[in-house]
Amino acid sequence: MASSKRDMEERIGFIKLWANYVKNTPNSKWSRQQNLLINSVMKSASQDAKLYLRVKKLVTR
Amino acid sequence: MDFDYDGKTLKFDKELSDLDKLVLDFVGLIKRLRIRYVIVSGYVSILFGRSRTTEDIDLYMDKLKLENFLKFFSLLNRKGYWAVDSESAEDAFDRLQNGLSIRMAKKDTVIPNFEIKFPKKEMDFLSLDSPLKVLINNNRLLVSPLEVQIPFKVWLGSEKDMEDAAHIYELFKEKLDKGKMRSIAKGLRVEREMTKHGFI
Repeated sequence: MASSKRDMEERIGFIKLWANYVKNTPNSKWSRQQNLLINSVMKSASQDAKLYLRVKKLVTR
Repeated sequence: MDFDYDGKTLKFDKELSDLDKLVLDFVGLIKRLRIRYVIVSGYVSILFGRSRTTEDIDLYMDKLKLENFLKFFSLLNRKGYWAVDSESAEDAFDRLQNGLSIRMAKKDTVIPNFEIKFPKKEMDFLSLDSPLKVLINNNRLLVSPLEVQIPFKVWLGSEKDMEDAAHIYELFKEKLDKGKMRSIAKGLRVEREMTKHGFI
């Protein structure tokens, strides 16, 4: 439990670090970096509709 | 981050991702039929630079009558979208009427998709009635107000949601209406959690 709390604190620490980077960086620069992640994930995502809906059903049970 | 924010409208320019372009395309179709909508949940933090992506974009839409919904559904079909989890337009409408969501995606894809719901709870109407107008590269999007988004994310409570809340708070903390946010946190009974994370 203590380790999980520490992990969460470290995660939030990183989130704040990134948010402050976005805050203090020109929009064109941070958005270009963000887009590398977003666009690559969109390109590589599985488009299996049946699998997607099965997973969604399992999660919402 | 260079932006202009007066509490009701947030204006900024950035390099648009493929996700942003898809969202603008979809809301463009909603606006064509003058349907009220608001984008809530994960995409809001992503719009403002959060370092993740999403499988779906959640939005609330005004409760439509069947006739208007069929027009909307038909327009989406014509413009290249399909219903991921509905057999027909009537089936999709039934789902919405019964309090369920429907998912619409670009044809031949399933991710990302738009998860559409009719509003049910007070929080849903709060966002739909008084959204934050975002002008991004001069394109208009309506999203949940930041003062609603942060406590709502805390209420949802998953690690991802807490991180989304932290990102939005850290970016805009000097501009937030803290009184309004506190009031919403009180309504959601997350004041203690919000205080613990330094959001109020």
